Amino acid sequence: MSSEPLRKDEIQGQIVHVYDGIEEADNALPHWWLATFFGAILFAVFYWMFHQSFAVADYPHEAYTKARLAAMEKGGPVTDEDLIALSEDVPMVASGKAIFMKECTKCHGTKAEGKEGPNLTDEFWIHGGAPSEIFKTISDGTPKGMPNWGPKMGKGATKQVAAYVLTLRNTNVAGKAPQGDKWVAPTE
Amino acid sequence: MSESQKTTIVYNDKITRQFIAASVVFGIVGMLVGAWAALQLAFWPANITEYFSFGRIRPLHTNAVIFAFVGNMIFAGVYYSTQRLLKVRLPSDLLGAIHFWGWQLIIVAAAITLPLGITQSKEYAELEWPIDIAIAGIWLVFAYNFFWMLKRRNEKQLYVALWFYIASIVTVTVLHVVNSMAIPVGLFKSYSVFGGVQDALVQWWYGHNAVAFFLTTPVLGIMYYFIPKVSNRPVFSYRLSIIHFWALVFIYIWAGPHHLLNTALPDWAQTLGMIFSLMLWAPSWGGMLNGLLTLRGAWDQLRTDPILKFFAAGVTFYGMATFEGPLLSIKAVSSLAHYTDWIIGHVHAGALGWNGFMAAGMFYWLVPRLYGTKLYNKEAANLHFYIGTFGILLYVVSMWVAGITQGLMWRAELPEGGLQYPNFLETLLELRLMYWMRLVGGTLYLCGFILMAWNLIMTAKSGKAVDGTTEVATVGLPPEKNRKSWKELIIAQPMQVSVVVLLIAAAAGFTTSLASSAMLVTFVVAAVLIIVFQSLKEGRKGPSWHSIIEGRAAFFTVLVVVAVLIGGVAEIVPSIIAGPSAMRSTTNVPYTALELEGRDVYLAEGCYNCHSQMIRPFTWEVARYGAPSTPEESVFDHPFQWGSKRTGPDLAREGPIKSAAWHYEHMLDPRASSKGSNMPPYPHLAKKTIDFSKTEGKMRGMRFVGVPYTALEVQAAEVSANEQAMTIVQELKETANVDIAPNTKLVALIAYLKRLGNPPIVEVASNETASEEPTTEETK
Ligand code: HEC
Repeated sequence: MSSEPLRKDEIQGQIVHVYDGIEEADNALPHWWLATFFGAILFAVFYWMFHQSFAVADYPHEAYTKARLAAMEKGGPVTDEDLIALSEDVPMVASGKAIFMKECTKCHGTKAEGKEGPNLTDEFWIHGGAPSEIFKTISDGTPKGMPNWGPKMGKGATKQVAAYVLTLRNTNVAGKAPQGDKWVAPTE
Repeated sequence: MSESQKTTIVYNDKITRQFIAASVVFGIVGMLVGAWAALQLAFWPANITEYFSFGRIRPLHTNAVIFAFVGNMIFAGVYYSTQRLLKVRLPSDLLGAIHFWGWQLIIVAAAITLPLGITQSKEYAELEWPIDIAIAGIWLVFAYNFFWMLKRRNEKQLYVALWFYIASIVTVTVLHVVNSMAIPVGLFKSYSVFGGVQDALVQWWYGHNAVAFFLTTPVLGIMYYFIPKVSNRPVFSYRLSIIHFWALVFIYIWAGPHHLLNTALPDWAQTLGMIFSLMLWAPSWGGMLNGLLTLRGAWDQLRTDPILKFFAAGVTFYGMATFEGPLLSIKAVSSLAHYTDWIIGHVHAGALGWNGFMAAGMFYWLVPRLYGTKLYNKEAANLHFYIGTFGILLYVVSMWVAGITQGLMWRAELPEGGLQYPNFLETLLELRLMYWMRLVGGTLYLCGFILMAWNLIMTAKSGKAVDGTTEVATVGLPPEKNRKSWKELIIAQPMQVSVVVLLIAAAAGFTTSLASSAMLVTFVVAAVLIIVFQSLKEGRKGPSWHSIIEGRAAFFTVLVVVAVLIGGVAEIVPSIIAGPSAMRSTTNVPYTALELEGRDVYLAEGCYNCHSQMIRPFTWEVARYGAPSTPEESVFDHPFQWGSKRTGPDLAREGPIKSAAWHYEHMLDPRASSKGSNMPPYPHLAKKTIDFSKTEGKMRGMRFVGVPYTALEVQAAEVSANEQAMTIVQELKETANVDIAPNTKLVALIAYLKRLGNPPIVEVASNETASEEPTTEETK
């Protein structure tokens, strides 16, 4: 603080400090400014609780998965290319896996190594190993005991499960012995 | 205290004159290079030779403007105002000279290395490791001289401008050191110790805070000195200074992740980035208010005085940019604006409006005083102001239009599914007019700046260099009565409250989920504010706690460091801890020797300035580029290549899309396959070669930062690079009848491009096939 006498400015009010000739007043903070200040802090707390603590709103990738699902429900015929692309889409595969873990492990085992149902991790497929054939098997079921999941889960979820199953192909988890025919991807 | 003991102090103003001259010169150079880059985007033939293609010009422009133009400007302002606010001459003229000449040498080194493609490829931190070390050294010289001034000061209390200088100096040191950490693999080549998500987080923690603590806080300090000086009006509010200062330094450091919204960055970090950015709005506007409201009662001067016009407009642009920033940090807004020209417009509102105008105002006021004369031509300064303002408006508006147009086109989907504009080029060609308009705006601004340079030179010529003086009553401060010890200051009530609150937050961070801990952090912010209010109230009974610490430079500095470090540690450390385990657990495979070399070509050419490698989880992005990117995919990327701007399409899944022959033709002449493209041609890549005998060293460096290459792979680098190059050469020969040498840069680059989004399949279970490859290489 300087030794100069402090004065009162007719606009800025009482001068509290002087540094190198620069006078400093001490006006009250504008109310609207304080409102934005505390308002933003409050908003931040609520936003955090809403999104992070209670996860009420979707994260970007969750919102995306839902949007994709909605789009897939509508889409036309299911092609090999679609399913392969889907099997490279991590969020899609993750939700497919979640469904698999809930619905399919009873018959296929938690590692898809096969129980009543066949091993899904080898190269051999009873009803065909092409992506669209796998989708069809899941969707329509088989006479031997595989239920028709398509009508139950919806087309989108079925595609996701198919995408997950595609990622299991040829990972060769030790389990039930191979059944069906060896499936080789057609060469381009 | 005896009145007779008066001594006269002569300030070192030479150093201010030098820094101003350097700032003006590099300002012109930096903006000229910027105009050139703008021209290149509108008119591709402006990419002249490999050295001046857009990917190398753009880092040259950003570095020149940030570190050469604004850097020299803040040094000028800091030296001038600090000496006067502390009533002390610069302690060491020699250190001052080392600082000045060292900094200019660094700038020259940058101007040489960047066009040569010597780069770490991290935005605004491109300079390679030897220059990084020089920067750290020179910065410490500056810091040493500055804190020496504080130590020898003849004014007990520190004015708010100095708080901002202190915060800037310590924070920039931390940011620069952490972000530049790299393992050298050659004299001019290094790899960041951080990779993938981790590197993205560190880089944008740095990048955002380079804006905060290099372009903003020092200039706020300058504002606090020069606006009241020039207008001769009292500063509006001391308590506003306290609140917005502490809020700004504490909150700013957290906001970095807003550059990475909707990417593969963990959600908690994205949300933190967003909410802290929103909380920044009011503290930033606190600075604007204190600047503008200081001008109360000086409005009539504003009409006649060009200097005050520059300051008032500069502060207003600051307010505009700091409103737009939080807006852009909202995840939904970011989904539209990210990767587009809107961000370019935003940063130029800050750089041209805030930094450029504050610099102009300061120079117009200082130069006449530093040369004991009057401003040569006031009319010219007024003209500069009007051309400059018009230039900024043209620039910003054209970038808004370009950014929003392209953002909307990218996301336009047809009702039956699929993209409305599936061809990327179509969305680029739409912007042509805006790109020319931007160039006009930028050029106008540059013309105004050149006018200023002429005016300042004429002013200096009309006078003679003079150094300011002052009289101080005694040398050194009188001994203080009732001096509070550090201990007393630390156990004061405001500190107690904040320590308790921080401990709660830290405890929660270790015991419960991340969620609750970060929630507490926002609580901390609120608590800190309460403390500030408290300390103000205390003022009524004796000096307030804050006014005591204003007189205690060392204590104040420590508090600033703590405030800044909290955010940095909370955000960065978790990812640094998680990094190595992510690398160990991944099923991803590191790049082959040739792909690594190709990636280095990609870095050196600055492809990341136009291409992102980060597909966000939106249906329209997936339709255009493929599945959303995962953290896994970039785990071996040291440094990460997510990019920040899509002048060209995303390349994260480029590999399976185009053939080697297509890339060959496209790289030599992009317009052969893509009519209207503004991508620079790269014919030199087909001629320049790579020395594969050096690849081994590079792989060793990568191994050092954690990429799991086996010893065998490292040893076989040269052989394997040659082998893979031959397969590409053969493919090119067969499919396109092209002859190209296997060791050219282009072949390596094609190998890298083919690898993107197309990693080799790892056979987890059948280990015979996995071990087959290395053994064949071994026998050769
Ligand atoms: C000035 C900005 C710019 C720079 C720098 C740039 N590109 Fe491009 N790039 C584009 C644009 C625009 C397109 C889209 C039009 C086209 O295909 O040329 C593109 C397209 C591409 C494509 C085709 C993508 C596709 O599948 O359609 C590839 C591959 C590519 N660039 C690679 C590179 C590489 C490698 C570098 C660095 C050596 C580079 N680019 C530097 C702007 C740029």
